[in-house]
Amino acid sequence: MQSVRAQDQVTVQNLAADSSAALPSEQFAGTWLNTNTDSPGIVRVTCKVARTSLRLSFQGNGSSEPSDWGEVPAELLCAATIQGGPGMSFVASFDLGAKKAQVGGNLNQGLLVIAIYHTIQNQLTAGHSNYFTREFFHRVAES
Amino acid sequence: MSNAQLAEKKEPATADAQRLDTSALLGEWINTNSSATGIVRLVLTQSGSRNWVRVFGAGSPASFDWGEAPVEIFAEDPAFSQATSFTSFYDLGFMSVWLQTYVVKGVLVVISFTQFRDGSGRSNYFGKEFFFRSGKPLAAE
Repeated sequence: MQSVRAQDQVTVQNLAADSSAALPSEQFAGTWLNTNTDSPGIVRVTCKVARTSLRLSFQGNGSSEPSDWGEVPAELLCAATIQGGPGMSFVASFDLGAKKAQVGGNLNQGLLVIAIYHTIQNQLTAGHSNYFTREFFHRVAES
Repeated sequence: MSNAQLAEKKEPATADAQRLDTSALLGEWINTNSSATGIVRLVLTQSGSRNWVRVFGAGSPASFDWGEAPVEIFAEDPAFSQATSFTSFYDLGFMSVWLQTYVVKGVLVVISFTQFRDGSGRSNYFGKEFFFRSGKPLAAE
């Protein structure tokens, strides 16, 4: 078993039978609102779950960020440990034309933490730096 | 995919990214946990207009050198020119690792998303580690 970190050197006996199988992602399902109601960035995240696939749609504030980012699949779903378990983090990316956004999300203490790395793509926004944002979302209670 | 191919893939899309001041990132970063079993050390360097990271994983008797990978750098705000975060991607064949990082209060927070592709049964998993800067930053070329 190859590894480049001590923590990745696990014995097969310590792995669940389905550790490498697609991870369940139900924990993300639903609508999440930014804990900062004055956020200039993403105001709402919607997570749709179908078995082990996760689809994400972001809603920006409509001024500094587009209101509709569209829907994309999570490219990678990760568990909390190498032994597996439910998915608790993901990587995704959006192509908004004027910029691309690489997204990392993770669940922590009931919050969905979203980090976005914005890469400027066109000259209309020349002079703007690529930039990073990190925001926190709480789940909307189902009625 | 070789690191050279990765460099091509990850080359900043505009010249703006290359103008960011990387002085807050360049240099050596050491894990705050001296018993860390994940990443023990990272070194950020600049060569021309490109920035690179070299990751060292915990190992015995010596740490594992992951080699260099290109990084993309980011400011805290589109109007700022000081880089305070970076992303990178390692394709090591049997596994790949997305690195997403940011500096807060002098600490480099490194988020890793690991995917195994070797059929070993190991799960994809998420990690978060903290690093402090050691010594002087490396000089930019």
